[in-house]
Amino acid sequence: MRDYIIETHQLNFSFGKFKVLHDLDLRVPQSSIYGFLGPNGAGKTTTIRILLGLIKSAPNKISVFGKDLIKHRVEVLRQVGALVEMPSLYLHLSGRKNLEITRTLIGNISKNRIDEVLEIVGLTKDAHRKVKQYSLGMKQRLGLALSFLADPDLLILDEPTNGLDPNGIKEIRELIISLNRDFNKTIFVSSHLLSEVEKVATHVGIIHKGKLHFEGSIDELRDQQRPTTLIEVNNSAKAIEVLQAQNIAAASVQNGTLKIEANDKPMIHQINSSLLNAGLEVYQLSPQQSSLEDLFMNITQTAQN
Amino acid sequence: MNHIIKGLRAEYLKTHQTSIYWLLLLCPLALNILVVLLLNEVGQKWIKGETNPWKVLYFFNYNLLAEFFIVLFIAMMTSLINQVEHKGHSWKHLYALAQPRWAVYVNKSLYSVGMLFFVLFYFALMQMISGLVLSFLRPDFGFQSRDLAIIFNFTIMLKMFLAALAIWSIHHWITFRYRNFSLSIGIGLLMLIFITLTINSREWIDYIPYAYVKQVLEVKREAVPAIFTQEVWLSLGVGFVIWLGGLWDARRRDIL
Repeated sequence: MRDYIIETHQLNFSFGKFKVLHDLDLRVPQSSIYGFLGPNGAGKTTTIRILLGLIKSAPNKISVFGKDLIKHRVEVLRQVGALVEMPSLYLHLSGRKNLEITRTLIGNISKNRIDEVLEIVGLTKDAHRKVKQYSLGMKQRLGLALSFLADPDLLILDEPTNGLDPNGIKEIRELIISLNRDFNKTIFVSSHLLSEVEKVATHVGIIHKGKLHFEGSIDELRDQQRPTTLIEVNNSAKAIEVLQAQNIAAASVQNGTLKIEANDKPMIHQINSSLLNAGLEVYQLSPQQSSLEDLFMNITQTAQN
Repeated sequence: MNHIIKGLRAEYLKTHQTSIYWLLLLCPLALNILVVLLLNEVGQKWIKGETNPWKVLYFFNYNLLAEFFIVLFIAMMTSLINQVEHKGHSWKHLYALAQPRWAVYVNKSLYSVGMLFFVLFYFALMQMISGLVLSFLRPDFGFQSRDLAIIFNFTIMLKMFLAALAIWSIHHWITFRYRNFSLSIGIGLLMLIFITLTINSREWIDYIPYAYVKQVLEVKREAVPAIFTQEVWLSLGVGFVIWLGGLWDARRRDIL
């Protein structure tokens, strides 16, 4: 069994003088749901387009299924299904006809497969309707159906829940989990919402301004969560000085409330005493368990600074 | 070869029962009806003496086609064929499928050029039906007693098709590349005005691909014209070079 389905090696890409990707080293394990996270403009879609050969890159930088993408493009794409941003659909045709066109272009797919994928995405009843009558969620599901029509081993999905209502998001999420669990697909899914990714992903890569800042399993990401304590005082500037004198740095300051990375009781006692001894009024000492969202924000903001 | 067969079938499925089909069916029909009405009213000005009325009919139709309609028709047909992909945001889907990049352009090209041939062939057939209609409306023209000049008709049609390939290659590339529906039609209109103004300056005519179709009708009516004349060769040469440019562009382009 191959360890990694996708590997990029020091992948760089520029639009003219603007560098979009900096030495990107991705490793997507087989049978994983890999959440590719990053704020808007981080380089997610560009990476996906490069992985699909839509944007040309230098040879020997991308390996998919152990093969160089540039040298074996057609061979590699035979095992890849994709949904890039909004789905590519012919609105004047029915859902079934859209699938029929892709089936014709790919070849060697039985007609029954169309019924199978329609069943999986829950569009059997609406297959005869023109796509222009579909809701956004239905279009997205049809886009997904197109992506795995050829039964590929790898699915690359770019923000598949974009623009969907909560119900639509839930449907797509369940579909992604089912494709991975029931059909053993490796799924590379990009998103700018950690809350979404953490519900489906087994592995995560966090990209910001074209650089990969974290890559690992979702558990490894959780391990990075550090407990914090919120401290509310009457003079936050003076409180920072007092804490700095004890080599304790404030992680952030917001509306006079300091956040520090610690929540063990002796430490909180020590901080409280020093603040009171310095003549400050302490209104609140509140231990917090930081969320993955905080961690994501922390990673991307640290990168920004 | 396999990619091409699959691609052509997919193109047919995409455009079946769309405005492209109506355009293909209605344009030749409308032009023929126009000519029938015209000849019915004032045909005696041209059909007199020993003149073969069938050839007059063919010349009328092909003249109208060459003067105005073929450029606009090609501009619109290529736009509609490629708009299907632009409107559906489907380029990324086509280029991400397991097929060579060249196949996307070649499939579209073959389908589009096939449509052009089909419509001209249908136009040639329609003219013969127009002649039959006129033979009932105006028996005095003598359609029923004269040679149908079928070879003449289809030779002109074939020459027209070949001489239009340069125009087709330009508009096919433009519409493949750019989403703007009116760009191709705008260029077509501009070029129509341009050649109407410059058609008499013979020294430039070989350099204007839009003028090749007009030169097709510079033949004597008495004999069947040769197919491979200068304007046909020029159209084939220019058209092929431009098509190669489009193919090169389609293979190297980034799909953003």
